[in-house]
Amino acid sequence: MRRIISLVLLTIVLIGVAFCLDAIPFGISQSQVRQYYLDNGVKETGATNIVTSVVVNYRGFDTLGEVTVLFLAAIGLSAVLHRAEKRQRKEGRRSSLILYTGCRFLFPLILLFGTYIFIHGHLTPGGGFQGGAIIASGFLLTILGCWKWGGINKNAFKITESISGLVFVVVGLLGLLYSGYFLANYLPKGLPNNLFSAGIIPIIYVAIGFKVGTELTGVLDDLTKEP
Amino acid sequence: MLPVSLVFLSAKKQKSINQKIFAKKNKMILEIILVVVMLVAAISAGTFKNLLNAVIAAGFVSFIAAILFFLLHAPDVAMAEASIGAALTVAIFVIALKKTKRHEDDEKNN
Repeated sequence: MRRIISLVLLTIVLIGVAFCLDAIPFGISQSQVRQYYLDNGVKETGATNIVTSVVVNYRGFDTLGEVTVLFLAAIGLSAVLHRAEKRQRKEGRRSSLILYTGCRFLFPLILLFGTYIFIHGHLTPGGGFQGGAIIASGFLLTILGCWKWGGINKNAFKITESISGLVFVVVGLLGLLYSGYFLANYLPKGLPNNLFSAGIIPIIYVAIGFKVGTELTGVLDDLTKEP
Repeated sequence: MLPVSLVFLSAKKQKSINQKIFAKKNKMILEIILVVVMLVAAISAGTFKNLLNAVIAAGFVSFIAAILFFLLHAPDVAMAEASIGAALTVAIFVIALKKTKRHEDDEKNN
């Protein structure tokens, strides 16, 4: 009996969901804001990458929230894994010469690529988050492949992370001072397609790149250290 | 002379249009194959008893998602997905697995 009742209830719920889904037109854009961004994005922000102009300029406050979430996650992880005694990475098997040399050869190139991606975030696809993640994967390569590498300088990483977070907030507060609202684009826009254009967007993306890169590297470093 | 050139032009145009349609069809077939492979990888990630295999399957899902994002003209998302989903998440899971148990069945026996 209970099964029949639950089946009947489930059928009613399914019919309701089906009707609701049927009422939504799929594949048709409901909002006009997309066309607005495409039409006025380059003119208003100076960034040729529309995604960047939305992420950093139109929706900059959301990005600050995202960065804060990542920061809190990294802080929580290091609080959970922290031990009072000083921890050392266990010296594992010595990697072969080819692996070691390959890692040492690739590591600066990966760093350079990540830096390129976040510096050119307002011109080409990519940005602070992507560049920071690429930098962290470069550090992951050294953790996996270079047995001699003793670990990152934790304090320097923490300081870099804090300074870049502060730069984001201070740039936003200066916008409040100069133009009347938080994260306003008060610097000159410049010519589109130039490296020095788009006002505060490159500054904020460089700060985000440093912050994300150091944070994710800190997470990896916390995890790989043996207790 | 004129009609010949017109015919030639129109034939060329027709050829380019045919090529475009062919390319579109090819891209669609590629996308369907990728989606099918992605579904298989996702289901196997949920069903593998060996957790290392499951983590690798989950990383494969992210990798194919990155390719699909790129094919759908979203390179920003594709980059984030490839670097975070396919590289860092897999590495973090593997490190966590190394410190815990590798097989799911171990818990029942203990």
